[in-house]
Amino acid sequence: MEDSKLIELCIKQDQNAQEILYKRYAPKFFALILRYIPRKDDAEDVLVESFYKIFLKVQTYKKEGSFEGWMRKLVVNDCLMFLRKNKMITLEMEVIDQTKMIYQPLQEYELENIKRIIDSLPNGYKIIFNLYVVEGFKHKEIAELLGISVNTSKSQLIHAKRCIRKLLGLNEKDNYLPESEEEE
Amino acid sequence: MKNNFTTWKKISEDLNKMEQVPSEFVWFRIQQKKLRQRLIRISYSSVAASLILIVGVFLFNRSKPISFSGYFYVPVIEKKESDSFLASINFSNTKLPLDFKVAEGNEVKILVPKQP
Repeated sequence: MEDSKLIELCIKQDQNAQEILYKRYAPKFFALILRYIPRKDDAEDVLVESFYKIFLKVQTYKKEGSFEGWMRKLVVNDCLMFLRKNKMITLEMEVIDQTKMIYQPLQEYELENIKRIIDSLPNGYKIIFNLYVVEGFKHKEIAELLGISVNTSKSQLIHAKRCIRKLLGLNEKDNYLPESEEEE
Repeated sequence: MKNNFTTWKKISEDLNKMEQVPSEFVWFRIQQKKLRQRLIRISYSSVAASLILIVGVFLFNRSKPISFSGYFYVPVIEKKESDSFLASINFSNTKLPLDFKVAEGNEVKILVPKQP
């Protein structure tokens, strides 16, 4: 069944359609939530909340942009709400001591290892890296979402990228994964 | 490694493709939450309906005869002459809380001077 048909049925609160939608997107959204909230129990709580809201607010989807994108924003918002509620958004205002980091130079591109490196970043770096690089939010949007300045968002991202580069064993001469935003 | 490494965009795309299956109880918890919220909405609606009913009954009752000391009466005041009013009271009870009795449905008319 296509998403458009599913949306129609979900607006009518059809439980079968809701279940199909859940089974289609829950694994993706659960992986997304785990990028922000590593504890599985907490991540499942957020998943429950997010899907409840999706089913409740589906009629407000205005078909501007993809339905998945609309749902993703809702899920990300719920993640941030959870982090804020549990006081887990701690932005590192100082540059962390990179000499204390455990370097894991990769022999080849392994997504699981990269994910592990991202997960090991300080919370502030990780949240902004995920919002900007993975979810595609703009710095202005991140600043509004987190109640910080655009410059703080930018600097956190640069530090996050610098940490990831270090942890991957890339040195200053390597052109891969640059710290600046005007890269690719 | 470097040859295999691509860009932040590639990492982003790959991370976005990642999936992790949540526990099977999540779907039941969503259903539970839906049910719970529906019950809360119903109870809120019941409370609101009860309040509306109470207010409605109160307002409706105001147009009914006023109860006083267990007796109901409908006071009517009509102008009789320029210097007096005719006040009439319809008693729904058989007893008048004064020192005389009046049958139910009887009307007592009293001429009240404007300036006693």
